[in-house]
Amino acid sequence: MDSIVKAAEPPRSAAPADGIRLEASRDKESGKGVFPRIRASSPVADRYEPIMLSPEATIYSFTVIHPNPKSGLKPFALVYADFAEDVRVFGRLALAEGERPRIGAPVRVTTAPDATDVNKDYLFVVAEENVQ
Amino acid sequence: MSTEVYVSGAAMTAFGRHNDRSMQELAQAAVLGALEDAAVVKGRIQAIYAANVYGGMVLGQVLMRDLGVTGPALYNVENACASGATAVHLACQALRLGLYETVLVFGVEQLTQLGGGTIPLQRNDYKTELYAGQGMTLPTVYAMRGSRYLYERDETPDVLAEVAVKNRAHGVRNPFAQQRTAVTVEEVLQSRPVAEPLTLLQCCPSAVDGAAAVILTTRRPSQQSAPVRVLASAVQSGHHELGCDDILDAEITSRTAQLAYEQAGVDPKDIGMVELHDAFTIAELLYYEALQLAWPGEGAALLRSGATALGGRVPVNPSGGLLAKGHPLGATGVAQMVEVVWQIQNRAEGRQIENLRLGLTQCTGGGIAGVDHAASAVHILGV
Repeated sequence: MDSIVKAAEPPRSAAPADGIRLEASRDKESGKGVFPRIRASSPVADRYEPIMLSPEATIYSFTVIHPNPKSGLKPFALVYADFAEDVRVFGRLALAEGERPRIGAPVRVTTAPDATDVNKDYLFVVAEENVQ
Repeated sequence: MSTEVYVSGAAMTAFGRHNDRSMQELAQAAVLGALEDAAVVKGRIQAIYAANVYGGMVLGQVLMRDLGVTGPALYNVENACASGATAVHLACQALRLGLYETVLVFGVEQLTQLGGGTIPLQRNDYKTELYAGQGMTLPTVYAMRGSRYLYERDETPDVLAEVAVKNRAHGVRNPFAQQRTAVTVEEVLQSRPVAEPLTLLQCCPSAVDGAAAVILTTRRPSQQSAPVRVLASAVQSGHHELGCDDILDAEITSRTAQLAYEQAGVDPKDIGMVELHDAFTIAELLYYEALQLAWPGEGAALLRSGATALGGRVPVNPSGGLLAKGHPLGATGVAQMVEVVWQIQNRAEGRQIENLRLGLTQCTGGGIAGVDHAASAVHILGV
C-alpha cells in the first residue's frame, strides 16, 4: 500500500499537563465503558456514570482509507483505540510520512489546532512506547 | 412452526445499472414474474410487503399503483440491508398466524440514483454522526475487521482476495449478476485500494439497481412436485456494544443462525448451500464461523478446501453473492431466497447444485455505530 500522508499541520493543543482526556460513560451494570459520554439530560443517564479516559490508548485495529483519486484527497489512517477504562474509541490517526499504523501500538489523544470540542474534534497520534 | 409456509413463486430482475428503467418498472417486473411463477392471479394476494431503504415514503404503494395490485394491506419495510429478509420474516409471521393465506413480498433498490460511491450511513444517531465525521463508512467498519483478522489469524491479504475470486467465478455463471468477469488473486489485490486491507474488487458494487419478489402461501402449491418451504425465519437486532468487544465475533449473526437452526430442526452440516451477506470479502470469512459452517478459527481453511465453491460440499454464494451479483439493498434479502428456490427446483441454469434439499440465506443490516450490526436475518428453505 502507499505510504500514509503526513497530517497537514502537526497536531498540537493546549493540553493539560498529563494529556488530553476524552469524556466517556461507564455502564453501571456491566462495568464496561462507552464513548461518547451519555448526556446528563438523557432519560437513561442513570444507567451510566461519567468517567474520564486515560490520555493514552492502544491500537486495536486500523485501516488506511484511500479516497477515490477523482476526489484529490490523500490517504488517511483510522483506528479503533482501546483505553484502559474498557472503552473503545474510533478516530483518525495522524502519522508522519512513511509511518504505518500498527496493532498494539500506543497512541495519545490530541486535537487539531482549531478544535472547539475535544470530544468531537479529537484525533490520535502515536505515543512513545515504553521500553522495558 | 406448525403451519407450513411455501414459496410458490420466485422471480427477480437482473442486477445492474438500469439507467433506462424506473424503480416502478423494476419492481413491477419482479412482481409479475413471481405471480406468473406461482400461477397466482393478483386478486389472490391478501397482503403486500415492500422492502426498500432509500426510496422514500409509501414507496410500496407508489410501485404497485400502475400494476393494479392495490387494496390489500401494504407494509413498507426498512431494516437497512436486511430489509428484504425482514419483509419475508414479517410475512411468514402473518401467514403462520393465519391472518393471510397468500402474500406478496418484494424488495427493490435503485442505488445508481444516489450517484455512486459508498452507501451512506444513516445520520439519525449522535454516535454514528460523530464517527461519520471522523471518517467512518461501511467499508471502514469491514476494513477494521479485515485488519484485525489478518493480525489475529496470522493471514495475508490473499485469503481475502480468494473470497472475491470464488464469488466472481460464480457470478460468471449467473445471468442475473452485475459482475460477470472472472478475476485472479493478483487482480483483486492490485485493484484500487479502498480501505486497507480491502481493495475495490473486495467490495460489492454500490452502483446497482434491481428487484426481487416471492409469493408466500400456506396453500400447498399444486403446480410443483416438491414445493419449497420456509423452514426457519429468524430476525434479531444488535446488542449495544460496550467496552472492547471482539470485532471478529459476528455475535448477532451467530445468535440469529442458532435460532434458525433450532426452528428448522436441522444441523448446520445438513445445509447444502448458503447465500450470505458478502458485502465485503472479510464478511464471508467471518460468517462461515458464525453460521457454523466452520469451527471457530477455521473459516479460511474452509475456503481454501474448496468446500464453499460450486462443486464443493456447501457452495456459498453460488449466485455470485453481493460481490458479483450486486447489492441493491432492499432487494438483496429477497433475491437470496430466489436463488435458493431456483437451486432447489433445478432452475439455476449454469450454476446448478445437484440434489439440493436445504439452503440458508443470511443478511445483516445497518452500519449503526455502537452495535455489531443493526439487524440480522437468517432463513432456511427446503423440501
